[in-house]
Amino acid sequence: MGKYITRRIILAVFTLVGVITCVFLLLRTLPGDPAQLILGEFATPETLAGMRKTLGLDKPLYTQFAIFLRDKVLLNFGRSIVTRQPVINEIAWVLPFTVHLALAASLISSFLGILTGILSAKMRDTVVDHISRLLSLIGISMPEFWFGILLVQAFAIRVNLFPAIGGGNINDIGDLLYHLVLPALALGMAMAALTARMTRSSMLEVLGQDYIRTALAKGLPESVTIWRHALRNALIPIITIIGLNTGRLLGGAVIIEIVYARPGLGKLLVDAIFSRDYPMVEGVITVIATVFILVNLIVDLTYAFIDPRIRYE
Amino acid sequence: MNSKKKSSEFQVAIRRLRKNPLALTGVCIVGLFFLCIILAPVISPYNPTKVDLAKKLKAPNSSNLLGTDEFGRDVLSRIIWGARVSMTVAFVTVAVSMILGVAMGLLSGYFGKWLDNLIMRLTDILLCFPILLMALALVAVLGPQLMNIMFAVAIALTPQYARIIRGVVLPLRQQQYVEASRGLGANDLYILIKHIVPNSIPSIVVVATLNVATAILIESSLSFLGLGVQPPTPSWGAMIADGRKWLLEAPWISTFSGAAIMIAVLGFNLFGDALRDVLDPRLRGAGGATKASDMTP
Repeated sequence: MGKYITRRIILAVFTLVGVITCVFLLLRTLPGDPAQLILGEFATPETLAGMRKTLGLDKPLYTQFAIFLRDKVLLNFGRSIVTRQPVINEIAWVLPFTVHLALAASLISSFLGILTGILSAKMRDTVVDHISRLLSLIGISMPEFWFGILLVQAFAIRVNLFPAIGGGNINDIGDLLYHLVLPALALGMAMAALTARMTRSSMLEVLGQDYIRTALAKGLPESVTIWRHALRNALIPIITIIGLNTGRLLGGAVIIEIVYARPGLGKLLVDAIFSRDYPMVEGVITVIATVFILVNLIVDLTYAFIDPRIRYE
Repeated sequence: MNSKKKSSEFQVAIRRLRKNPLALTGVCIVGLFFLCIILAPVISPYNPTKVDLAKKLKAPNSSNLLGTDEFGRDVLSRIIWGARVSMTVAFVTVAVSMILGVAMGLLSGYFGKWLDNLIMRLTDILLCFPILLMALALVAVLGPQLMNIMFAVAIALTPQYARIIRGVVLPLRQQQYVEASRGLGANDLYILIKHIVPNSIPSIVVVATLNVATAILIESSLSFLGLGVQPPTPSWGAMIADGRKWLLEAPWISTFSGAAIMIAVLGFNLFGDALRDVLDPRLRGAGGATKASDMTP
């Protein structure tokens, strides 16, 4: 068990270093001078040279990389070019909004997805199954930002139930939840479709196993068989997809935050892209990738607790 | 003999596809969008970029079936021409990512050892960036030109290909006919081209079809954020973004543009799922559960 956890953690650290290297290479070795990108095409050679010095671009690439890596480990992402505030402070301020959105969307998608998937598998090839499969396929095919706009049309414009924009007051839980409903639904429903499909296939596979037949044959009620025997065994692929969904969740959050003008990592990133605030772009991308790696590490460790076969491998 | 067998396999595949109503729906949708791409100049009722302020924000009516936007441009015409942009981006990116990803997957799966480790760790790292985010970062650095968008989406899709093709190649490498070929003195390049690639084609076709759907979604997301094809060229994502300003007065602009994206993506997903069922028993059983269309970003 300890060996498994250690191996996973080491792998995650390596991946994280790889991710930081990718971000570094993306911003330093692609065509174009970052100083020029920041200052615009009318910058004088002197100001360009000054900016290069400020950014450390006058040093050799390996020195730049060493400094870059050290800074990231120390959570030093530099200052925003636009606001002059430390990037990490700005990220820390909006992070709770993205975390709330991601958690709420995850809850909605897991609850709806797993429930629909189980129903669909249990009632295989019936009308319920066909409808839920079709709805899942539509859910997967629907752009989240469009669904978000439809929800605004229905529940903020036609029926004035929820706010169309904003993230709410961070110190007021009621207000936060009120502002969270529509964005979380928009993001959660798309992922519920994915989870439902995964749960259905996973459940179908488990329901065909001998031990399920045995459980039913010895007279266990169907509900007990499904919830206690089948679902537990179908959980591994479901947890995998919930972990993998994190990527889609974070990508989706970027767009949903724009649709609802919510503060968050996504809005911070897109605003930074438009204002060419490269330290901010660098910081947000590194944070999002790190969160993704951490969530997948947690998912990997969760397997070991759910399935003893994995930890003894 | 061989060609007869191949044609009969092909006929069986077509027969199975024809019996599947969802597959037929997918084929029809995909066909419809292909027609839009080819016949856009003929079937489009109006010039998609022609401004006519006298007709601004008109609700759907007999002369503008899907209404008009804030510049009086016909929404239907813009959707038809927008299909060209979305599909061009989708097909080019899928082709480029297919070449890169298949090459990586083949090398990784076939040669194994350190090369496999290197390529798989690289894909691990690339997969840590959500597809949309990676495309967004690349477009942000490179600039929102069509070529850059296609490059960004292609790079974002490549690691998935590499992963899936590697999974397909691993068992193929151990097949007896591959070992027999090697025993007869065939070199690696010959085995890859003669045996591995042809046997991977069904999986490649399935993944490519489903990736078209993913590419359409990424392109429209980039356009929605203002980082896609620039105006006045019609693009579905940008139309939704434009329509957002007029949700109260003209909800049809964003509603119909979004519906176009959804129907196109649904068509490719349906078609891809059906192709997988017909062509690729390996993917159908991969991990026992995953449907290939679950790879959307």
